[in-house]
Amino acid sequence: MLESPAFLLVIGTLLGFLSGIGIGGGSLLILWLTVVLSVPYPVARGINLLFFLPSALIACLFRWKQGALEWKTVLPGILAGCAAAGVFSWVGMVLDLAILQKLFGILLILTGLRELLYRP
Amino acid sequence: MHRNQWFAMAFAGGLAGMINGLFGAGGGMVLVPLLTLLTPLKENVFPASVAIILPICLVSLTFIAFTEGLPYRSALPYLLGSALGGILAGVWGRKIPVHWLHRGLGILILWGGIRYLC
Repeated sequence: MLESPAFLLVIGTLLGFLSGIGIGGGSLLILWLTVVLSVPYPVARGINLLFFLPSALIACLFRWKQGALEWKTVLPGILAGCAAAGVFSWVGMVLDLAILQKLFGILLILTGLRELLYRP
Repeated sequence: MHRNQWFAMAFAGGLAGMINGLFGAGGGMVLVPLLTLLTPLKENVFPASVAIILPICLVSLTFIAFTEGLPYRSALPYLLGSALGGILAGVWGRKIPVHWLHRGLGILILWGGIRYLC
């Protein structure tokens, strides 16, 4: 039941909605895949990156049309981010998986604490 | 754009690219607070953060596509859900009080982090 396409669609919609309103949908999807469905971490990483694309594209279009997004302002972030992503995607693949998962655990704890201490 | 703001934006984007490249997630976790702290974007921090992470994800995906291969088939139900959830968030997202959601999901993510460490 947990792996039926209809159920996965519901989970994807729920997490896509949470991502769309700015709450850690990506972290939750990786947790869902690795802890509940026992999907290997490298596969979960790929699924999570793909998962982000549709909701992010839609969110960008919505907010750009509303005038909340200025591409010229975010360009330095995009350039530096893409360069760093290229280097660290490679690092993430050659790094020992156990170490990578421990580091991800630390990131999750920091994310969880940030969400718990959230002030609107 | 002011020079300091240019560097702040590049620093925040670079850190998000590092985290997202390593783990395939978590870029927004560093980007949103950094942009809030270092730039005058205020209420436009979230769309700016999504616009920066989107190309970052594309770079990581290109890398994965050429090395391990992309898990298209496993991702398909989540992709459809992601698009649907994105539309729902675009339509209703601003009307929902998210304060309590942050707390509940914070506990869930914290539990996940502890499971990864133990």
